[in-house]
Amino acid sequence: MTDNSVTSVKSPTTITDPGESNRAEHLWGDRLVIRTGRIIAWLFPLLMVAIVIQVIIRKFGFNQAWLDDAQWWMYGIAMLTAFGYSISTESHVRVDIFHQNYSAAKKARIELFALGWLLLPFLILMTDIMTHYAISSWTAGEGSDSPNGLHMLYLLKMALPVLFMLAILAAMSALYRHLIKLTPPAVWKYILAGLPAFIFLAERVVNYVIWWHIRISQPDLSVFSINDEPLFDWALPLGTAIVMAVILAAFLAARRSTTGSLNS
Amino acid sequence: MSIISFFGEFMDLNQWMVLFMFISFIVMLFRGIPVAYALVGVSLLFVVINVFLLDPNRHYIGEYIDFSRIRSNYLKLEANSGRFFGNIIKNPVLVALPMFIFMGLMLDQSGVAQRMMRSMQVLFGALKGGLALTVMLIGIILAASTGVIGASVVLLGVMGLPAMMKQNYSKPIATGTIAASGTLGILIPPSIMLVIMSDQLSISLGDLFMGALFPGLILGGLYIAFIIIYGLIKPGSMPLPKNPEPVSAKVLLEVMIAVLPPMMLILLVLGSIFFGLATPTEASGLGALGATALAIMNRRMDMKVFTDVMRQTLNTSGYIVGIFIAANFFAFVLRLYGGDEIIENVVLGSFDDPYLVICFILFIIFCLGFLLDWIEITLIIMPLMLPVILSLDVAVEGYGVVSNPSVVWFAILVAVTLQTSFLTPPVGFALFYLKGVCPPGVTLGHIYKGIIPFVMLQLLGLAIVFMIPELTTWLPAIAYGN
Repeated sequence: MTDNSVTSVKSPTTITDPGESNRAEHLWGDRLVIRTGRIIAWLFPLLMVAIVIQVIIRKFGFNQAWLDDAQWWMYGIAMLTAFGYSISTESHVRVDIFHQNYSAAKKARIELFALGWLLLPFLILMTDIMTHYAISSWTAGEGSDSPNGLHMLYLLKMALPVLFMLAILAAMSALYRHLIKLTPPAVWKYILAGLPAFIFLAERVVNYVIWWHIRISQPDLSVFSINDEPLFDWALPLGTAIVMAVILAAFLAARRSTTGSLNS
Repeated sequence: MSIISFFGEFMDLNQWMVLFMFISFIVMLFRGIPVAYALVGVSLLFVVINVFLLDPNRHYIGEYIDFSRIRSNYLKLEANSGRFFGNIIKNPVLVALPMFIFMGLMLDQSGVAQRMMRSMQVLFGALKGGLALTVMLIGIILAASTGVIGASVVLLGVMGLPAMMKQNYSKPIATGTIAASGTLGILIPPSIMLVIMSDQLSISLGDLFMGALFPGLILGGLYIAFIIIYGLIKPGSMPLPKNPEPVSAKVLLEVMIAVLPPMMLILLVLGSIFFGLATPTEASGLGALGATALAIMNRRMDMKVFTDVMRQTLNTSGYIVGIFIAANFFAFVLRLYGGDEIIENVVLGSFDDPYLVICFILFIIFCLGFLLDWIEITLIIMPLMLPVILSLDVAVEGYGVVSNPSVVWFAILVAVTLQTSFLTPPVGFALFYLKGVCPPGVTLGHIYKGIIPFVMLQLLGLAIVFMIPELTTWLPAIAYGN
């Protein structure tokens, strides 16, 4: 029974680094998400150590509530980072009975629709509402449930919108990656590929501009009644108009530059 | 508005909306859109329909639709932030999820399987189907210490398939054995599926782990019995090796040495839960440490293995949590339309006999298993079924210890049913991974043919658990009785 006999059964490589699987295609956005993921992945061994330490010190009668909290803090941050990471590695589960037989172009089109029209609006929504959630936690100075737990819960809650932004970066980068498989890239094509997401984003921006406009111009108005102002009805049409204008401008600029290069 | 009244004749508008929600989800699914993206996309679409189409017209359609529950605006969506945080982030039970994934991946890298393969192969050398038995036993032992199926199937496939081909095993039997034994990992605790189920059904994870042990072992026993009997009936399908090594005391010792480390790990994880020394979350951390220690002991550990396991854990957690986040939002929007109650009423109204209702649910899950995997089914379907099971009032003996014994029983039934979802084509995790490691000459046809008897055995196991609910509640009652 020596170790030689064991290793003589050739060790199959059943595991690979998911971030390296289609590295050649990756853009800087994908790489950034994957690098972040690599760092965050160290939370898993750390979590393991934290759990083991806690089991041990509990045996000796010490109970550290902050260690309990630290466990799900680490878990939460790692999980949400993992969400963005697996967008970049394209490992989200899909039903591929038909998908596997599609042409490369069709696969790219499906990916554009899935990322730009389905996923991205949701990520923007989550970033937006998680930011509000974090702000209200910050203003309330929210702490832990247990008296000697990890206080400053708002720190964790503030990390969540940031991690959703990481997922947005992953999705936007993947959107571009699949767009250039189909056509030569152009700004207007990119915006069209993620049209609902960009309209929603513009609507949110206009919304906040209006909010601060009202807040500054009518300082005596209560913060809670600002949202009832009729001006907010204009956020969506205005946001849509801005996105349309950007598409048109980008389209005209792209056409001018191509005709210009043809003439020269 | 005559169109609305026309449609309103058949079902009320809420029911139509819920129906459309599921239909559009299924259409997107078939186009190959990732499940998580499709779920959030459909949910957003129906939020948009709600806000821009239904809500402004509620004066006209109010008599056809229950609009008080659907009236919504952007501010109402803010409620999802608290749901997201409470259900997914601030959830100490789910901390076990990445830890069990880490443990499983690490154990697959630790070389214990190769060691067991080498020694047990010799032990069962003179037995008909000995090689298949070896693979099956390794699958069961690994199952009791890991919770991830993909890696286990790949490992068993890479290790066992070439050996079985070399001995001229019939290809369907070889592939079926590997797929079925690799799949057991998700039923025999610790398993990440049970972690997620306990979260979705709000039952104790310890109860679920203990409850799943007997059904898992029964299934493993059925597989072993099948291989032995099949080897007797059709010896040609599982020929003996040319010149089997004699079984000596040395071989027995080697088997002992090979099996002991994973057994210790099982004892560490399940034992600490069983004797109440640790919560399942703590056991997951101990298990991860144990698997790492095994890898170091077998000299398989280096920086690359360690970082690869870490990153693969991140990736696997990522796609599971993706469906988690998406299903959480989907349920939120479904509730805006009253979908949970609609589905509850449909399922409850299907049969009068509560046991038939459960059979009906299991049948639906079995059918969905052809298309979906356990992650989607546990995260989308299970929470919808919880109120149904609670209101069915099925009497399951809980020995005064297990709370909600009927839910525990139901969860295990679903877990056994989901075993088939790994094996049934066209979409099955086990098939997918097995396909990737098949040596040339093994076709999809062989794999499909090979899984049929094992799916039958799984259904037999399901019937046994259905007939004897005490199998699932007796052990947790013993473990937590005093």
